[in-house]
Amino acid sequence: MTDAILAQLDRLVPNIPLQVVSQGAEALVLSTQTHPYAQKSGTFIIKYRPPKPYRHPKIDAQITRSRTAGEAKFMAKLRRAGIRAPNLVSVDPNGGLIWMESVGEILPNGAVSSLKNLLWYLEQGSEAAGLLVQSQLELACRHTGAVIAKLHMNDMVHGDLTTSNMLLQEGEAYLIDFGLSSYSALAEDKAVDLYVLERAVLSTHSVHAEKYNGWLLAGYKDEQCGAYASVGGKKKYSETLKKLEDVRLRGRKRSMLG
Amino acid sequence: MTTLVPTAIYTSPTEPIEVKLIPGVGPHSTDGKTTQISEIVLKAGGEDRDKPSAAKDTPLGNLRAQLTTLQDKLNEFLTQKMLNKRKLEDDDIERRILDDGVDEDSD
Amino acid sequence: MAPIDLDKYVRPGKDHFLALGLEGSANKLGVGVIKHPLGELTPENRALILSNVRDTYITPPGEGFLPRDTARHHRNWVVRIIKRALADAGVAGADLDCICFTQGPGMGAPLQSVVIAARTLAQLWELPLVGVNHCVGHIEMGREITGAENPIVLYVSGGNTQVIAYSNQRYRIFGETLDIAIGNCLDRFARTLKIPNEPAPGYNIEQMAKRGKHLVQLPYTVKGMDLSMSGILGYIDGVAKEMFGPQQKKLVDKETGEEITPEDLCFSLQETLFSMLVEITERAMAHVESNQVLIVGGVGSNERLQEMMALMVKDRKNGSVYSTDERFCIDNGIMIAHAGLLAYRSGQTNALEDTVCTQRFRTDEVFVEWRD
Repeated sequence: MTDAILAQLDRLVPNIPLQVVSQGAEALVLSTQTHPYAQKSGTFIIKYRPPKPYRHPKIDAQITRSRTAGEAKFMAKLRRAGIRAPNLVSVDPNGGLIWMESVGEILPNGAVSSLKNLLWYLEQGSEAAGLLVQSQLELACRHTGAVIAKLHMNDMVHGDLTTSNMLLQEGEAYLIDFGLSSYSALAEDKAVDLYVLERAVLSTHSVHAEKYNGWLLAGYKDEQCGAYASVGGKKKYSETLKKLEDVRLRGRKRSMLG
Repeated sequence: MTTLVPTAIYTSPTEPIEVKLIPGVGPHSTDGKTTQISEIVLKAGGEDRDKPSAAKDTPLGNLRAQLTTLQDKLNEFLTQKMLNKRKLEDDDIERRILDDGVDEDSD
Repeated sequence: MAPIDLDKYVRPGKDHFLALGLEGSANKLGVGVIKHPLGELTPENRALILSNVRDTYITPPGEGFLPRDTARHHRNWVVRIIKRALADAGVAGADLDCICFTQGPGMGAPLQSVVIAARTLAQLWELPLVGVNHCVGHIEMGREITGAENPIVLYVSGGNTQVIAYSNQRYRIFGETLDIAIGNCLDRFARTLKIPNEPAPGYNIEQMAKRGKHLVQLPYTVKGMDLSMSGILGYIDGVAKEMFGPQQKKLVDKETGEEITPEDLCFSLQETLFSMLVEITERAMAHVESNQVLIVGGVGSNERLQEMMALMVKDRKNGSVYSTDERFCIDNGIMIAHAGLLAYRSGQTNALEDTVCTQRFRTDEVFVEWRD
């Protein structure tokens, strides 16, 4: 279990007090007050990709190395492009280790402020609180749509957009988890990115999915057709959206033989 | 003893004439012409263990045999229709190239 | 939502339901009879399998199964298999509550040949018909056999590769293949290597893979919770053709200097594809915070896949893996009878004109009324 993983991690970063934040599918996320090389105070996040015992060691080493290095590079590029994401502190590709600055908040119910948790949390209170909560839900979705729009305008594709992979901090949306990210100028790839998110919303927030997906896309559109209007944002938006229609259709038509 | 005779009717919104197919006079058997196993399978060394059993001389047995003949007729009818359609399309391409094919001299 | 009354449609004087299930969406023809006692099914009140008979259409090595030959196989065996299933169960047509059949997804011609048998029996015995989604059949049977309550389902077969979770009366698809299915990928590679189709190409690859030692690095293509396999197949097909085609090119393992064998290729293909499957399953588990996995579908009987899944689950809190043996994970009639009977007990039946089969029938189209 997690203890064994923590023991492995202790060999990579000995004698540092760590707190487990979450265990995702491929990585363990921990927080610490220690900076790896500078005398800096603050909270830092360590993302650790432990070896997966089910994988052949060769496959495992290759995946860990390429995803860790790829994610770190991607984060550095995001910073240069001014897209909200955690700041990179250091990286160890062979060990599967990334240090970064912390983003996100803790919700009143104790959960981390991912879009998923925020939506779930707000949904619970929405019947009593009514309109106020509606507008909070809408803003969270729109801000997230906007940051994805920015990403795509820079020809970057996340590759694993789900409501767990976005954090909200002071009302702003931050993207995290770039292990499957890539660079592409193709409308097709951006459309697939949006389609993956759409499906994730549908399966995770099925009751309100239509509304949430609508807001996410509205935020996406406003950013590309507003802030990026002067650099061809409108054209890119309509190309991506047209492809999104195709991808959706393909999804429904996909041949499924028994 | 009642005799059961299967029939098939072909109608199409684009064709005025209805076509009725009947098994006709026999002999009929369950060993149909168009319902054999694919050549590919036999060529690759496969054996046919899915042959229909012979029809018994009972009303239901006779129905099975007649149905196989009717299926053959139906398959041949539809195959012929497809071939005709393809030929018409081919002719059409030929005609277009020959009659309307003004491309070469157009400039 | 309050659970619905599952005993509303019981026949007067009876303390149980009986259903006949007919499956023929691919190269297996399966017929089964299931019995449900009254009341909700629980570990103490389980469904009873009265019979489960199957016949598989097998092609020579190097050949896949063509729809029309497969349909012909089903047509020529369906009466005998039904008779045997009824005899095994000790049940007569008049005892049944309904006739369940696979309505899709699957290959058109085989589906149609089997639904004709279902329609004929329904009219002969004056019984209602229930059309069943093949994938939902696998899921419900897997749940009943293993007792898994609310698992993430990995559905892996010749025609399907999906990661599914239940929510709000639907089985929702979280991830799936973007091109070919896992079983199709393995079968096609078996054809490239001319591995026999008897008893099943995937089974033979599994046995060869057990003797493989060296890993040949292949592309690894996971996209979020989706995956893509056609590129991997193209790549390894290319390697195999270089090795065994006219070129007779020798490939060696870099570390040991030993020659790469067909067994090594089977091993490498399985290790790579299964890693991808386990990875997307784990991602779905993390996403919906579930700790159970249920593997269904023909490829689910692969022991290496089960082993890898168990290793993954061991690293998660209170995790458990459920899988069934080949009687249930390979296509069968009993799962159609079981899922169909659940639908029947919720009041879902198909009028004769609504029994048309469909090659494309997505798992999330089914309204799962019988679950909370």
